Amino acid sequence: MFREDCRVKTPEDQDIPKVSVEILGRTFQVPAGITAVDALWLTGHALERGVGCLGGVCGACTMLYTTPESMEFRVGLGCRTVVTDGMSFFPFPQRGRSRYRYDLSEVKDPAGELLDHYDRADKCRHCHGCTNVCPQKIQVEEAIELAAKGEFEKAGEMFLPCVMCGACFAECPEEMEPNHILLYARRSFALRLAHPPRELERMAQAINEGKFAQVMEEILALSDEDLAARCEEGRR
Amino acid sequence: MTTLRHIFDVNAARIVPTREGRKGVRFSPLSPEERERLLSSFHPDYKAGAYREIRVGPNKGDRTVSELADLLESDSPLDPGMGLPPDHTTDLLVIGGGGAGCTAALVAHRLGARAMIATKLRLGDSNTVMAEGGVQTAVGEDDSPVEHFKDAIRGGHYKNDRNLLRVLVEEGPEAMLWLCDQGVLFDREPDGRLRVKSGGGTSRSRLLACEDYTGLDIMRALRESVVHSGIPVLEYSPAVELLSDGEGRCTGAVLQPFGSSRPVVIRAKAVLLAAGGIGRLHFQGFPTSNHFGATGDALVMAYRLGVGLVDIDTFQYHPTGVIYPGFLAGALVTEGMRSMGAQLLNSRGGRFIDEMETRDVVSAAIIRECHHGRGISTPSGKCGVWLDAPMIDVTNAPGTLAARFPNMVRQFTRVDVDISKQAILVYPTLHYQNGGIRIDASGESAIPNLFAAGEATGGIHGRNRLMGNSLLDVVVFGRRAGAAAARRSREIDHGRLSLDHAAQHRAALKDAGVAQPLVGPILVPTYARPRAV
Repeated sequence: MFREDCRVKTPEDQDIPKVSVEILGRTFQVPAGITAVDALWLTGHALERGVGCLGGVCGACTMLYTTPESMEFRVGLGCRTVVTDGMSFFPFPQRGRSRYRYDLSEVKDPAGELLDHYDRADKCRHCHGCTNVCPQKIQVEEAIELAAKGEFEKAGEMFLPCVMCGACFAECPEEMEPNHILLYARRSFALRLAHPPRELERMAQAINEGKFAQVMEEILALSDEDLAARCEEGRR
Repeated sequence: MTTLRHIFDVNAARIVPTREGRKGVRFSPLSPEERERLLSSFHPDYKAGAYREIRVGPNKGDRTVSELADLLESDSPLDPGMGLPPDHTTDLLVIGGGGAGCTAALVAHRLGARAMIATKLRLGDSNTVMAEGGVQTAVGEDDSPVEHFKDAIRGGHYKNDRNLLRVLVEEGPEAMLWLCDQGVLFDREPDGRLRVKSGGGTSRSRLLACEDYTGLDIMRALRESVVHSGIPVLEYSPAVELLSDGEGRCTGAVLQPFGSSRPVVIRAKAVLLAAGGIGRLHFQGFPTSNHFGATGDALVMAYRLGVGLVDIDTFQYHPTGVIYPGFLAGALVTEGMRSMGAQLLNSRGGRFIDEMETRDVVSAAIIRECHHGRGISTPSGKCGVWLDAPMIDVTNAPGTLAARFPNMVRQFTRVDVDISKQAILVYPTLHYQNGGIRIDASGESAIPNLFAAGEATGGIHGRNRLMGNSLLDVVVFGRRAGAAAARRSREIDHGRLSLDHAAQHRAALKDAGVAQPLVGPILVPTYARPRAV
């Protein structure tokens, strides 16, 4: 058995090339091949804000960055974006508070009620801003178009990888809150339009009717040994 | 720099030509005795040198990993004599904004209680959001909560609390219907039936999933529900100490918001600990799959208040944590891949374990291979085995992997690796706290008015949790504890606020000769290098 170095891997190896990055206005030399979050830690930036799951699904480390090739701001997840030479990056402002509220249980006609809940959902200017900034590469504008037409199943499917980073929210000139609109599409589809989860309903009912109660009592009363024997028998 | 592709290319001759022949071949399962032998020889739980005795408190004399023992023996950051004028008064304070915390708060709120969530990072920042493969519950025609119970108790080495496990499996289907009501969209087959997948250690397929974004879909829906319900949420406000009335009841908590020197005092009739797990404590130096905030805060605070912990010497190491490239280290490759045909291979290109064994057994087997020199080394000095994911497309139709695991495809495309063509390197990663705070079937601890739910609790999963039972746990017991706490708050008044228990713990540390206790909870791991001027 051996001990793993679980902390940020900071090879002092001279063979690892260094790259130059700019963080909040200051320039640092860091090893090539590390992520923006690792670069922040390596250069002494102790963060509570700006890190979350470190697994690419929560959006806490969303950041804006530019590279020498282009002054265009790009959006990436800091835990999954590898630094390159000349990259300049800084944390993205945290996800905005949505201006909209709805009670999902009260939604009866998901598509018909879209504008009741998100009154700017039909105002898309087709500027491609949302699609351009999405760090998950979702075709946001297309998904919004589908949602506006009532095609909630497809819109919800496209929306699945969304980490709610809020980049599209910040970018949209119509302030329509695309990520929340698509979340509404997916949730209301799940509740009202998807095939009902009959198998779960049947099982829950059978359990409530006590169908399995006797066998369960029997199992609960077994000794550890007898229970183990019971659990091993007939295993595939 | 050596890429993963290069390492694979060097080894490809041992892997690619054997794929057709390996298709559908089940590696011989181990007998119970063989499983025990493998575990005791290679599983990190059995490494005696990593463990020590706890010297104070309800679990005095029990053994746990040194890192956790240090924290259970840690001192409060607060002065027990400090004034405690309440900044907020509420019925139920939920500490933790992940799956269990949000579920409990929503249920309590719906039952008419005044609920409030305090969370260390943002609402939804949790391990829940990262869960990939699915949530387990009895659902098929040939399935029942009894079968689910048997699978789970076998996985838990028959040490699960049987009453708690019974609740988990019997209330599972209803809990999943509740999630559907929150807008979670589980995958369907083309004919509309729920798509059900298999997981390690189970006799039936009973995992419901949202491709490999299950936790994300659940957390997104729950978070939106919480925000729309108007439940107050204090973000970046970690709890650092519970409050008691001096007579053994919990009466609130003290928060220490990041960036503020002034603590925030919450007076509550009931407190519910849902602050998750311990991965970022990196026991035995393992990398972790866990989120940044998983530092065992719930255990530390509950322990100081006198709550006993169960099964605190066993932790789950998920077998397939990525080891290369470095920045993905610890990241999880979902068990779902193995259940769809992905196979584990050692440096000789040989199989060495049934991939659908329970996680502890598979982890021990991987550690064994590396120990015996049959692992693959990386340029950064790590060792691992191959996870041959392309077998998914060989075993099913081409394109299956891309369709079912878009999250994994995306993560690896970012580093120029096509996981439908090339195998990746994996090694066990610290993943889950099997044990924790002892609770009853209502989610209440031995301290009146202190409830707990989710990973912070113990007993349900015994000594090893099955895939998909944690997502189930957070919803089933989040609902139960939320409801019980709401009922309790109707029955009682607010109590006195004191830190007497912190003073008692401090005295106990002195008596036990704990020379230089840590100050805990640590709240965040220290990764940042000291700032260069």
